Amino acid sequence: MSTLSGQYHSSAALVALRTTISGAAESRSGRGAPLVDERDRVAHLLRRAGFGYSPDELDAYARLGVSGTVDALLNFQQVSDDLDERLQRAGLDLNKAGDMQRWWLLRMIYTKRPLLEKMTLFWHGLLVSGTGKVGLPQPKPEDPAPPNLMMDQNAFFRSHALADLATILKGISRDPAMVVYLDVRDNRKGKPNENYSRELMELFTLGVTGPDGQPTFSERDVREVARAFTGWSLDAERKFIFREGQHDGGGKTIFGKTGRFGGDDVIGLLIDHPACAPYICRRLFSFFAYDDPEPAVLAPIVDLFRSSKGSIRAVVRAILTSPAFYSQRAYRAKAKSPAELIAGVARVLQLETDASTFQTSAKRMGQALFNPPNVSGWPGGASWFNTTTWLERVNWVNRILTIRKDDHTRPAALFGFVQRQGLATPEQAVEYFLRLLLDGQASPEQRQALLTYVKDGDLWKAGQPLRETDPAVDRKLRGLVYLIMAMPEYQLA
Amino acid sequence: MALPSRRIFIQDGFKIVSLGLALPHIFTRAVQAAGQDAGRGSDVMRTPETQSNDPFANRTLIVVQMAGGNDGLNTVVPYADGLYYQNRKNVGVPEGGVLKLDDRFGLHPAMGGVKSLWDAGKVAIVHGVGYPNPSFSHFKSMDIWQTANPEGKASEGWLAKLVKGSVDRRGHPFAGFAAGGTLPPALMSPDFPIPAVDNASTFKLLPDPRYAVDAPARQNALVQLYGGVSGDGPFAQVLQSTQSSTLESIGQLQQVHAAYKPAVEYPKDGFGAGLKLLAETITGDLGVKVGYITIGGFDTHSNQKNQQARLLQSLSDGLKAFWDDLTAQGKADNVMVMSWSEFGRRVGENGSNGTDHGTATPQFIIGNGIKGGHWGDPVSLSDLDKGNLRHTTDFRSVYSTVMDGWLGAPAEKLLGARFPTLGFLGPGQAS
Repeated sequence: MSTLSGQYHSSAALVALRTTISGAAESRSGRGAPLVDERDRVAHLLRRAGFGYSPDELDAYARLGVSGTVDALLNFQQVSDDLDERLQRAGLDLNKAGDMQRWWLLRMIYTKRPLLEKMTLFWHGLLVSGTGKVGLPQPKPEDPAPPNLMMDQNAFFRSHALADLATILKGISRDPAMVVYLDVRDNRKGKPNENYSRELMELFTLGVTGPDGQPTFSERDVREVARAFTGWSLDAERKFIFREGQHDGGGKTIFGKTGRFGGDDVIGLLIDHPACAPYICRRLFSFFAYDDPEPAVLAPIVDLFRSSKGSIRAVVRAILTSPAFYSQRAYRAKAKSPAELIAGVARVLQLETDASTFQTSAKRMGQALFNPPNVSGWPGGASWFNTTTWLERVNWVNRILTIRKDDHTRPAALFGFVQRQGLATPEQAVEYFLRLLLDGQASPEQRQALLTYVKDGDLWKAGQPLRETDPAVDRKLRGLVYLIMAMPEYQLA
Repeated sequence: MALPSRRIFIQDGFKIVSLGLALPHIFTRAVQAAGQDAGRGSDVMRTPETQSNDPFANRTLIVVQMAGGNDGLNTVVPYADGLYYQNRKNVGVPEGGVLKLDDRFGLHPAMGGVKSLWDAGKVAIVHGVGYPNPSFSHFKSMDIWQTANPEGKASEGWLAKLVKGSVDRRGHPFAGFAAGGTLPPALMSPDFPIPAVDNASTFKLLPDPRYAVDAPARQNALVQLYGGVSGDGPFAQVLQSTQSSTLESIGQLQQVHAAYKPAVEYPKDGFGAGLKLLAETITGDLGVKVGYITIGGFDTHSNQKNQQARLLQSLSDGLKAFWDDLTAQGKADNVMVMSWSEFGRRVGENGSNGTDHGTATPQFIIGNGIKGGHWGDPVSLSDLDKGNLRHTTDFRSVYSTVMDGWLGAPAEKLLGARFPTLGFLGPGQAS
């Protein structure tokens, strides 16, 4: 079986295509400066450090302010998460790939610990394994409840989401899904298998080249690190086991240091490698803020990683409180992943759903959770957007907004917005939803296009109280929210 | 509204594209591409509209990516070389099962479909393809192949660069086409979106089912909303161009999809479905210059035998069905297939009945007009570089041959250097 069952898409040299960052925005014609209001900063924070917000959540976090929100997100233990009952009600069969994906999407939609869920997604995209190779549990009469290795790995990421990097790497190197995915169990004394060794360095901790442009490891390092992990294996119940007899205990030279290194020693060497701190900090910063951070922005975060002995909690806090995170460059500078789009729409519309078929849409948008395309995870950025995925994004939004009767997802309560907000005119409706969904950032042309659409057909009669069944609501209000959610700006976080 | 100036700064400083936006962008894209071409003259690539007698006009190149690093030695098996079996005690393909091409080489037993095309003289095998200072990283090596740049410095896929030169004022959204829901980096360009389609029947913009009458107003609004985006932020360009490319493509593809009847039964796997979609675009005359499809899973570090056999079977059966379909539809003369993989595998097998990342690997070229046989020097199993094959053919020579000889595109200009071409398209003797 292969590790790389899907299409390859990572492509460092094509980063330019994915980001096309033009530097500071000069002419956001007709728009106010973003991220000035505390409310807008909190909304930005919730998009990045979580999966968006409901109107109520945004109000509540806005009262805490940015600083209080960061504290609340990081100290998630203080928030009780009542997900279990909802997940139970969905009636999922977690031996099935689709239901596993639904299970995670439901968590993203309904969690009250959004940063925890976001960090779990980060680790899944960095320290990659996937069901394509790891497989799904196959219950049999004699073994009715075999372990679900990918679900167990997901639980490991969630329980160590903000731990120090060494703990996470030592854990993932023993994680049964990873041991299967990168052939660690086939790596034996005298018969090394280089798969885990190479990706541990290239993708998980160092990158191919370091900040100095030099290769971070040699082909000899690949072979020697593979030797250090020989004997790391699984037992008959697919639990981690160290098989002493298969371990190569001889001397090894790794990054120019010589010793009788084992796997945990290698993790120490990796953490001390000069390329590790910049690599991990860059990955985290790019995940939360924007791609290709300036060296000066990254430098204090890298220092903090080192002085905190690799504390992910410290690094994440530093990123979420850094001025760069709230700078113009960061605003709408990340392409929403399919999971972010789906969870964000569901949260802001306060959908009541069991997420049935949401996983199919996410997959068609390019993100099958628990099964990234290959060991480098989802490349993200502009690669989320092509003709097929763009259509799926807007068609999914359309489907959600035009639900009038459905056994799995209740209709979005758009009329509730009209009542609570007292939306009496097309202008008020356009402004309210632009504010809620896009911080009010739209050009005059875009506002005009939305207004023209709502007024087209002359269904919204001035001065008459609206009822839920009026075409102005049933047709145009649904269409308005669909259009805003289809807007290019809404595809960005 | 101040006229938005759209500036895209490509990271490594290769070029800056500036364009104004006055019309809804759906109309400006083709004009913009044409305007850029105007500066390059007409030598980039000829198009059906401008050169109706052009022998290259209706030609299509289908690129098949075998992702993960296909073990070339087990694909085109040097069964007469004792060193092969010494190195491959467990994963080697036994001589008895090999589909013999001659007294030196044979195809993997799962490749009966390709073998029948070989017997008809339609298959060229280019041996030992690679590049200097090989990278053993999937991702770096794929970058190199996909940008045709061993320094990994290019900012655009090589095929995107090739097809965008063929666009005239009418646009041609289908100059390039990727089967599958993912656009490969080889077809990525910041200003020239190429459609990626996984399923023609669902490639539609859905209306509100209760108010289909509202659809035109919604689509108009969508065009305006994307035209009005501030062009300065990241992704503005890619979102705009993707949206317009999608809306342009839908109608054409739906028409072609309704008219297409496959002449053969395609294998019922993802690769077969993708090839069928490519055949649709070709038989429908959508103007596809370059079609792309990926088959993944070749990273056979462990238990290679079954995995690679299953993949090669899928590859070979799919290509045979594709070729038979195109032949029956009268289109096969206009099509050439080229396979590639980012690297081959280590000559010696590993301890897990698999093989680790290696270097050179063969490419298949399939076509009616080509010279079937072996091209390029076969790799040596005795003269190795730290256990790895030394490449004998630079992949850019293969690219050059295809660009120059099949598509009539200026290879030297597109690759930035001259590479010797191979003889599989013109006069020359197969080795």
